[in-house]
Amino acid sequence: MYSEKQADAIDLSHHLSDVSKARLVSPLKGLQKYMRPGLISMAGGTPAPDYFPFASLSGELLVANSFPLSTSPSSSLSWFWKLFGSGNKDKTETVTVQKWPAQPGDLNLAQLLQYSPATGDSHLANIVKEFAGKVYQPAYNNYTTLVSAGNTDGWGRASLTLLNPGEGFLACEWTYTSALASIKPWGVKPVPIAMDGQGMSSLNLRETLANWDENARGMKRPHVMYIVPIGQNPTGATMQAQRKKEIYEICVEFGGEYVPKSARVNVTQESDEEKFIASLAPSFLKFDYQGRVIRLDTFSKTVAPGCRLGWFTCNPMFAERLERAGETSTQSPCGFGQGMVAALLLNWHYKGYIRWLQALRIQYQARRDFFLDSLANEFHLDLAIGTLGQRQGAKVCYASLKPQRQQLRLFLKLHLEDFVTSPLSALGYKQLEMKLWTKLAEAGVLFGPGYIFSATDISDDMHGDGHFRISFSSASEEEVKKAMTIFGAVVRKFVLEL
Amino acid sequence: MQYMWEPGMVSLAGGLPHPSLFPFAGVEVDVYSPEADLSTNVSSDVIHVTVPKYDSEGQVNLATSLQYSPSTGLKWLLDYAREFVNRVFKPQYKDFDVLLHMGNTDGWTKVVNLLCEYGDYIIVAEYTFSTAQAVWIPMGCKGVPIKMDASGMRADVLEETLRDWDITHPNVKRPHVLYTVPTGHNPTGTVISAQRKQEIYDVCVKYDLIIVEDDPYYFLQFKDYVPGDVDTKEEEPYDEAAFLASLEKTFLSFDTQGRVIRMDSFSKTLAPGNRVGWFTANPLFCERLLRATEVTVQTPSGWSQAIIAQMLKSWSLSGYLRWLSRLRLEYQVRRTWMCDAIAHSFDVKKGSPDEGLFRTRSIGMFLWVKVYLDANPTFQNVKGSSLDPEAEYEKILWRKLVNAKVLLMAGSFFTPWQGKEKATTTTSGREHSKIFFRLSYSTPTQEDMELGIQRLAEVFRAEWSVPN
Repeated sequence: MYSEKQADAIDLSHHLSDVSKARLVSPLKGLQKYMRPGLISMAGGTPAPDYFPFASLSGELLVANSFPLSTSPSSSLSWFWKLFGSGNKDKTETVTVQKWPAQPGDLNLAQLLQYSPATGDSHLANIVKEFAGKVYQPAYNNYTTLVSAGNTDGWGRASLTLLNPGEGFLACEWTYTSALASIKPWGVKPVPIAMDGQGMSSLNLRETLANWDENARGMKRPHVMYIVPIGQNPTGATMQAQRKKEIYEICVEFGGEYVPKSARVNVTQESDEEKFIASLAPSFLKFDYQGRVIRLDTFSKTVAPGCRLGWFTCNPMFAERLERAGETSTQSPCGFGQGMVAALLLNWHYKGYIRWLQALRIQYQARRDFFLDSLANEFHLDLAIGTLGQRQGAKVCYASLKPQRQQLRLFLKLHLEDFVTSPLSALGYKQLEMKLWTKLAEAGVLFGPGYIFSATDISDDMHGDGHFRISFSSASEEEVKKAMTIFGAVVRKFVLEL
Repeated sequence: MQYMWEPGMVSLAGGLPHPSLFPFAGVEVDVYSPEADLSTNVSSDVIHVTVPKYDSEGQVNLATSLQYSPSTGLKWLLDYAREFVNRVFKPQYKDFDVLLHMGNTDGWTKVVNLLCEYGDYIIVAEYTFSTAQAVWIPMGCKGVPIKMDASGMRADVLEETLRDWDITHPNVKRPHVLYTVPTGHNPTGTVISAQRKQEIYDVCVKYDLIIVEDDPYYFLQFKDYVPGDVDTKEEEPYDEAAFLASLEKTFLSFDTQGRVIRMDSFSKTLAPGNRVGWFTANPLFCERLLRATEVTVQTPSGWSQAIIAQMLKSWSLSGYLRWLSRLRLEYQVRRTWMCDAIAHSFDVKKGSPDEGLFRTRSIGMFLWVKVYLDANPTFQNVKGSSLDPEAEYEKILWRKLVNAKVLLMAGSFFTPWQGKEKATTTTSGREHSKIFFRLSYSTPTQEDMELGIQRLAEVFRAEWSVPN
């Protein structure tokens, strides 16, 4: 699994922001090394665990194989209905975390609910480290992991650790809005890179970096890249190994850092977990022989978003700086969440968690398929060859889409400008997109407006194709059908009035 | 986004996972009763609190709390916070709002990012909470220390500092943020009296300052120290109104203009691992803080919100206040243990309040001890050769204590950062021949406190060449 010739990460401390370099070790942490047996400490200001009013915490856990690994025709309806219904007769197991440990080393509330270092609970820390090693197989030796309060916290801390105000970061031309919004107030700008079917284009990346003109651009060549390589938000694209390798080598050449964010794992119909791991599109970590990648993982999509829990995988220098950033903000994630997730994973073990992830993907795949079927029922879906031929020969083409192997949502490309004949032709595509969006909202359907995902501002007079981001991760079967019917009626009427 | 909440709206806009795929069918927490006897290590008096996965009546449930949710926090806990603020703090303006955060450190970081630019000066007490500083020091900000007395930060010194700012700091933006831990001050243990708060508030109105009230120890307000008083039983039957009346008023209670951003936390009253607390502030600040929250941590953990909301519902607000009144007594006893231990090993005389900061009125979790070095031979030696003899001797003494197996926090951890040029005792304007230590009585056992203080006394005797 591991290359015998793996080295440690190289020194990348020149990438740290000024604020990050100035962060000091918290004095309390500096005291840890004096804690010896027999030492009486009157130094810390922690409350006494005796007064935590929690005697025990019990979670009723679904078993790891609650959802099936395949969709056979006979079972497709039964678990499908079970999925959408609320009367779950799930098999469960109860785990309890007591206030005080029964055996030394047990998960316990006195520890979980106390102030703790930003490194988090040790049980959870060990679990994620094992997972990262087995699944992502970083190409260097001394990688490490650090818990976070979810990917939004992760990107927040990583960006402040790497970027100074006035700097830019590389991102796909369509990218996750929250990542853009969080960094904007710091005077950091996205530098968009073109995309193709697999996500970020390595050609455009190389071109952009090689031809960087600091004066024309008003900033130094970017040294940080933010990327969601699997189930890209919003387009759903998934980047394969070869492209990742190309991008990594470009980053080595131009000295860049990555912050790939991945909440999703690719899936096939395997049931043996090693084969399953081998079948996944590998993480950037697998190609990372220098320690340039800071990977953000989250339990939001695989356990639940409300856990506010995730982790970083990166080299020890970055982990230490990210820990310092955590100490003056979120500190350690919520003890209840860490306890419940640790208890869950200790109960399921690595094998069980992989089993769960496999089944999860099948669930979302079924939802995607149902959605596409509903779309096909309402509209006529034609397979297009290449990107230019789709309009020719079709009577009326409202939109096009690229179903991805693995996604929670669809990025629908609108061809509304094709229908514009009237004075409305003065409108840019953003306005057309929003006009249709508003009509849909008034008719009772909400899609995500595409322009908010653009890494660059779209001005009102720009021409091109609008988009809708349509999520099918949580809507019920009835809701999906209803939405498609309304969509069909509204868009047909809309183009006639253009 | 007003469309999102319309009845019948089908939203395919968000990327929410489906709750049926959350691997938890329910959670049960055994919590203490608000009247539990905390002096024993085991509580047999427990209440079962459950959080089901689904609830058809809109009550607390996992499907909602473990889902992506509004950054303000879940309604149950917000409603509770509002009720609490109205009942206990009674702000003097009507349209205050509340917003959850992940603990006061997280809260303070958001406030700094809201109000402070790189290089700003921030008003703080002459000794201040070290973690709070660590937030703004990397931004190139500097502290402006204001002298304290027995009632906390001095209003007259504050006024003078602001009045003379343009003379003392020409061409430098005058500070507009005041950070304070007014109750059980970290590290000095003082509490700012109601009258002093009014005076400070008036100065802040005059010079247009925002007061950031970081108040996690608010409910740990004790009576004056009485040697040997270790009784946790209440003197009179508990009365909620009397308990609330016994507490020193907050800055929020004096706030007529919406100048106070108050941060409350469950860290010291329930447990730090909850990572939940809330802001109380005017609507503009709340909205800006909300925007900042949305793109940083989003919201506090759904686990905490659900468990605490359910627990507080089970206790009721009155039950929670009862719990707080009993918790206070527990920490009061700990303060007695610590002070008694000091009395056993040292000659304790009652002096005037100006002679030392070891005040019997210390509350919260800390004792702040002022050490006079005039009669200390090592210090006298060091004075001749060192640029900062106080700092140097503090290190020497602290090390000797560690070697004697007692660990304290050195006072220098709490001195406000004023920039490199003002880092020594002389340049920062601190008193000569004095150093400080912070002693915490929140966790050691009574035996450990006795033993720890004995060790401290031995080291002191040796250092001051006092015969045994």
